[in-house]
Parts: sequence; C-alpha cells; structure tokens
Amino acid sequence: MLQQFQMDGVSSVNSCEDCEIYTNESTCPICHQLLSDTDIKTEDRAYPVYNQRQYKLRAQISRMTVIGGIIAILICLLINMIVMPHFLWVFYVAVAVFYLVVSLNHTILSAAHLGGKITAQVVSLTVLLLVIDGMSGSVQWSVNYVVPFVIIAGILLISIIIIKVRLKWTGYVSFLLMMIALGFLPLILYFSGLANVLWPSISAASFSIATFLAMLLIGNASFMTQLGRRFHF
Amino acid sequence: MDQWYKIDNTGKIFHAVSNASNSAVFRVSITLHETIDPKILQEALDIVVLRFPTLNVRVRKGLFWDFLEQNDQVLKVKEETDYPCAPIDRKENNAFLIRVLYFGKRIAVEVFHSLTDGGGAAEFVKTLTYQYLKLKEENVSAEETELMLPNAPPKTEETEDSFLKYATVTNVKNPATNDKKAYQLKGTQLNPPGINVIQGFVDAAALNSYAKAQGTSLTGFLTSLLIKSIHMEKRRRKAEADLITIAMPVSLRRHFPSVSVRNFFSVSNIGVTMNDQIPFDDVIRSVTEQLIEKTDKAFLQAGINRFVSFQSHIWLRIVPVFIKYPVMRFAFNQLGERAKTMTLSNLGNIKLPDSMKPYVDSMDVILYPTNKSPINCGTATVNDKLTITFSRSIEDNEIIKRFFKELTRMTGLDVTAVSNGWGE
Repeated sequence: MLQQFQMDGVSSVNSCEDCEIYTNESTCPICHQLLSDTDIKTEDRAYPVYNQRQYKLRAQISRMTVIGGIIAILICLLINMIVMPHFLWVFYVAVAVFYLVVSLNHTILSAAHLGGKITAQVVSLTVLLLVIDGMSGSVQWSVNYVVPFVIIAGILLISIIIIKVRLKWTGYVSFLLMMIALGFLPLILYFSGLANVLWPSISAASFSIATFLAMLLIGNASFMTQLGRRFHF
Repeated sequence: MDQWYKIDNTGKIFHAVSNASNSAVFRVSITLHETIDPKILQEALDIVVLRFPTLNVRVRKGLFWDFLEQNDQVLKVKEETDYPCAPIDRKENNAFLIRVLYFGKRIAVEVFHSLTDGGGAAEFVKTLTYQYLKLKEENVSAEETELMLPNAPPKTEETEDSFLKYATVTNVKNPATNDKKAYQLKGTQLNPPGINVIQGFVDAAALNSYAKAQGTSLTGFLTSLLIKSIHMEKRRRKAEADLITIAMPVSLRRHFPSVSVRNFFSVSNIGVTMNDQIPFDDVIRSVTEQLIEKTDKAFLQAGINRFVSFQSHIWLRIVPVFIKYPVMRFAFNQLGERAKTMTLSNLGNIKLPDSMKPYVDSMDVILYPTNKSPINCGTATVNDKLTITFSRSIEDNEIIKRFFKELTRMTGLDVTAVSNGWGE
C-alpha cells in the first residue's frame, strides 16, 4: 500500500471502509459516517465552518416573497370571481404584487448598482401605472402626465448622483444613457396616439436632450471616451 | 481609468450566461506548509495585481457589448468565510471580478470567467505566492520562463485576445457544432443553495504510471473512470440516455504560442455510448482516441475559426445586449449545456520554480456547477500530489463516492479526502 497523503501537521488519520478513503476529519467527507470521537482541531480544518442558517434565511425570504405574491393573487382571483365576476379588479392586485416583488428582490435585497435600481424602479413603475390606467378605462393620465414625470425624476436622480459621486461617475453613464433614451418614450406614445397631451412628453424629451448636452459639455473628452466604449461593437 | 478592454471572445459567453445558479466563478488555490499571514499577503497582492492589468478591472455596461475598465480601487485580501466559487458581490468587492482569499495555509484566487481561464488564474496565484514568499524573506528565486515575475512590466501580448490573433478564417458558414444530447445529472438542490466540495489527494506519479500501463494518459484515465462511475450510477437510477459526455477545457496555449493571460481555451466533448457489456478497456481506448483527435492542432484551429466567425457575425454584433444576452443564455443552456454530462478540467502538472517547491503542499482547481451540469470536477498536480476536486450543487454524491472507490480498487492507491460540508 502506498502511503496516504496527510494534511500538514495533522497526525491522526481515519479511514472509511465503506467509501475506501482516508481522512483527517472525524466523519467521512463523503458518506458522513462517524469515524472518530475526536473532533478535528479548528486550525486543521480544510474549510471554514459556515453559518448556513443565515443563507437558508436569505433564500427563504426570497422564495417566500414570490410564493406569498402568487398566493395573494390567487386568493384575490378567487374572491374576485365569487364577489364581482363582471369586473376583474384582480389585475390591479397582480401588477401591484409584481411591482412589490421587483422592489423587494431587486431594489432592496440585491447588490445591484444603484443606477440599475433606479432604472428598474422607473421601468417597473411605468409598467404598473400603464396597467392601472389601462384597466381603469384608459383615461390616459399615466401616459399623459405620470410616466413622463417619473422618467424626468429618474434622469434627475441619476444626474444628481453623478454630480455627488464625481470620481465614480462613469459607473452611472450606462444607466443615464438608458434613462435618456427612455425620455423619448412619452413622445413616441404621443405620436402613436396613445397619449394626447403634448407638453409633458416634450418636457421629458427636452430634459433628456438637455441632460445629454450637459454631460457632453461638463464631461467633455472623458464623456466622449465613455460613449465610444459604451457603443463599441 | 484610462485602460479598458473588450471582453474576450469566450468571456462574452460567461458574462452573458452567469446568474445566481451559474456563478461563472472558478477557484485556483495553492496550499503552503505554513499558515498564511494576511498582512504580508495583502502587501504581495498590492504589487502583483499591477502585473496583471486584465484582472485589475471592473465591468461596465455597453449597448452592444459590456466591457472591462481599469479599477482604481484597492483589491483586498479576505479571510475565506463563504463556500467556494460563490457569486462575486461587486459591491462588497470594490467592483473587482476577482477575489483573493486566505484560510489556514491556503491562498485561493476566485475569478469571474470573463476575465481569464484556469491557466491565467494559475499564473496569477503562482506569482502571488512567489511574491508572498519573497516578502516573508524566504529563500525563493525564479526565472521569467518559470512564472510571470511580479516586478516585470506587463506585456501587450499578455492582454491580447488570442482568439482573434490565431483565427485564420472568420466567415465559417455554419458556426454551430452538432454534438449530440448527453445524459444529464439531476438531483435535489442543496439546502441552502451553494457549492459542496469533496477533494481527494492521490499520488500523481503512481497514478500516472498506472494510466500509462493502461495505454492512456492521466487525463484519459480519469475521464474513463468518470464515465464508468456515471454509468454505474445511471444504471442504478434506471436512466435511459446512454451517451455520457465529459466536457474538457483544453488550453490552446500548448498549440498556439500565446502568452495572453485572458481566456484562451477550447472545450472538447469526450463521449462514450455506454452499456453493461462494454469493458473498461474499451472505454479507455475510445476516450484516448477522442482525446488525441480532439486536442489535435487542426481540430483546435477549426474550433477557433468557428468561434470567432460566430462572434464576428454582424447580426450578433449590432443587436443590443438586453436582447443578445437572453438569446445567448438560451443557446448556451439548450445547445452547449445539453451536450455534456459533466465538466472535467485538468490544470495538469503545474510547474513551479525549484526554490518554491519546498514551501508548497498542493494546488487545486474548483469549478462552479451549473443547472444542467450540477457536478463538476477539477484536477491539478503539484509536487507529485494530485488533487481531484468535485464541486456540486445537488445533494446526491453517489457518483463521487463511486469514483473514489473505483479509483482505489483499480489502482491500489490510497485516497485522502476532505470536504467543505456545505448543505450537509
């Protein structure tokens, strides 16, 4: 028999007859059978002792959010069908739950970039408002007023952050460009006939253009460099 | 912030497909005979990280492709507390896509695969360890041919995308491969989700001699044994599919003279259609033949051309990432991942300067499991000690048990094993 390898400085070696391996650990690393009553010393461990409860809790919260959301929608659907089958108000609940799940899992729990969180909030809030408006008879308050101003608020927020973080501003460029592009959405909605009030749409598009020009003037060469990198293909 | 790099051809795929269940983070580590001093390790890292500019980066978002930009923050060493190959939390890691960990006598480097491959990471960990030993005033010295010296200036060739350099044709008509669907491992996800690691240490010289006596290489023998172990387990489960395919990353640096520290590898699928009547010798023969065929320069050249042709396609280039990445993810899962049962990555016999050898106990590589390949295997040899590391995201470890058992029974060699105990 050839000599088995030992971990440095560890003298006691146990063997598992079932798995046919040697180990310095007190239980078999493969079948978990107890091999020795003497626990391995902390400094001899090959890997750290993990706090797995914390991981389980985090996984559970994320899973429970989704399951809870689905259950809430199903209960509402049931009540809706029994009490008021001619008016499906359950869609209001569904879209609100969608927004809450995005907010909890992405905006609150995830380690995503702050710029990405703002962009995700603007997009999911836009979807939420469009559905609510559409469901309530399409009086167009969302596309006419709220969506353009949510987008303006998003652009403004990212611009303020860029001014505040100064040296780290390049990390927000992509998200700002995304928001600037989104700024033209209300105008598209107006010309496609979905919105019928022009001035908020013009405001959003103008604000986008102004922000882009401001970045060009303030950021100058480095902004142009960033644009070159962001649009390379 | 002046320096930036396009993500290399292979790196783009890892960047597109990574998610919570596919971290695309792998680990290369080196275990010394003495406990690691974190302060000295940090000093060594401060020097070495400048030698590897393509690892000293953060990812930035682009419209058509994301890209890598020099990261001016400090890359800090951390004590290992998490399971290996956990997704890299960019916020906690100063936006670096690499982390340097220490635990006991081990220095571990975990890298997001978009930056480099196993060969590049091994070079980094070797240089880091060398610098660490130098700062500890140990008697070590090295030549440029043995490792990338910490104080040498980085060379342009080390940062190149070698796929582009070595592609001879960039307009291959049908860039898709036609590998058949292979048997896939399934199981209950670990609770909590994470990665369980089981490592076995074996005498490499003795195992190599045994493999040679069987008419194959060490890689050929390990691949054949894996196929046999999977087949035996598959039979126990009464699964129907017969083709067992081991995906094997092949470093292209052996055939194409590249010194790039970025991704430069190809994947060869070694498959055997198994049944109970096939003797193990025939499995070895088939695997060895395929290994010779699929690591041949002409075969690898065709792979490079196909790969570069695919990524040079104008339609792929002009589509924005938010459309392109989901499509790439779908193609990766449905075409790439379905053609393999497991990945086996052999870093080979890692060459260290003679003066470093007395300080080094072992080296290992840990691969990240994916949804369709929930158990993977990485092997590395140093100082005649082979470390075989299985990483899994599912509860069932019967294949691993069977593999080590068969290894002991066939070769008569002793296996010493350890585990990180995750999910148990």
